[in-house]
Amino acid sequence: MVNTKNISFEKVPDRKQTVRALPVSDSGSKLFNSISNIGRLKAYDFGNASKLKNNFKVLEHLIGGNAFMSVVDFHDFAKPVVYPSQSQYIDYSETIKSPSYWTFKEDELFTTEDLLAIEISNSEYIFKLGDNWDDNNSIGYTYENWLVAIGFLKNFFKWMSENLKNEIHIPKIYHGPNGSIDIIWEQMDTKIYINIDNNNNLGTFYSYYNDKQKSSGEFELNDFDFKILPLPIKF
Amino acid sequence: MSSQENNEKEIELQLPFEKKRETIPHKDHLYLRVHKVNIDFNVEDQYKKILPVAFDMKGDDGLSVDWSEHSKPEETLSRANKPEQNGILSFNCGDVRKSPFSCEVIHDPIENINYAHSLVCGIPPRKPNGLEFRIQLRQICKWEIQCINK
Repeated sequence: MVNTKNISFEKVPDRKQTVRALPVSDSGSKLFNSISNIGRLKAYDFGNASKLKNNFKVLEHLIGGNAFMSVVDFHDFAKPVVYPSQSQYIDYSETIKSPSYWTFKEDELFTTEDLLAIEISNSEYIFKLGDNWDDNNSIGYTYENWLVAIGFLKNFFKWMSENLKNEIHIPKIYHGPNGSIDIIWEQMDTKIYINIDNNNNLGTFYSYYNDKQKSSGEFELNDFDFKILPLPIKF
Repeated sequence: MSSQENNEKEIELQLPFEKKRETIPHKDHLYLRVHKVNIDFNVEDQYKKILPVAFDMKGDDGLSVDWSEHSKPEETLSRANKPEQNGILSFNCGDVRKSPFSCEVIHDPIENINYAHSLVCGIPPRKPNGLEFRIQLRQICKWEIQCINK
């Protein structure tokens, strides 16, 4: 189980790049990274790199099985950073220096659950947006509202996993208007947009396919049926 | 001074300002500032990278834009609190007046500050169908000045 509370955005001061702390899963078999200037997710296998495996064990030990690692600038070097909490990190740049140990694997290494966890971690920036986040006096976002949106999304995925056999597309999660959260699927032919407004106990959805077919509606967050929502699944 | 005299005084003050309002031709363009926090720099598509919230109004009056007749994109950018953190989108005035938007575009100069200021009025609230409006508006936009990810 991924503990998303320990995932955060950080800046590595000497590299001037945004890095993302991402979950490292079971037994050192996978390292996830999301590199902002590449813009897509990839998985790397540790393969026979015992040095990395050893380090991975250290990382796991450090934070009780919930290890987190991030990588910047995959072309030149790897700089894993462990986040035992949001207030501190341990720099392992001296122990893992080269990504040449790694073997590239296809994206299939990720499970849907893994990918969703990564997008959720990427969305943690939202509740860090305080008042006037856009220099235009917009109100900030609360952790509670973010949590409600994430809870909705996780339940939606759980429902789809249990009731449908299809593979599920992974959404982007962004800040919406007036403290609400936007959940967006735009990578497929049918586009789906869901807004979760916890302040008003209201969800809104809109979907369209090639300008020919569209649907929209709203629902109460505490009383609705997933069956009415457009489904982000692969056919 | 009686209340009637007060009202007359107010009207006198307002009239010269009202006279400055012009009708914006369909052919002209409108410039919209977009803060970089409303851009997902990880998305490659130049338009899908713009978050829908970028098209939400900040007040009740309408979406604030600048009229191209009286402002260049650079000037619109320079009026941002932090220009370096913003980009400029443009869209055609006539396009937002016709279906599916059917908005009203009003010249709304801010005296001594921004004569180009205008409002796109009639943007539906997010619920239930306003999301569609924002996605469609994004589709008719063009980047004039790209947001820079610093």
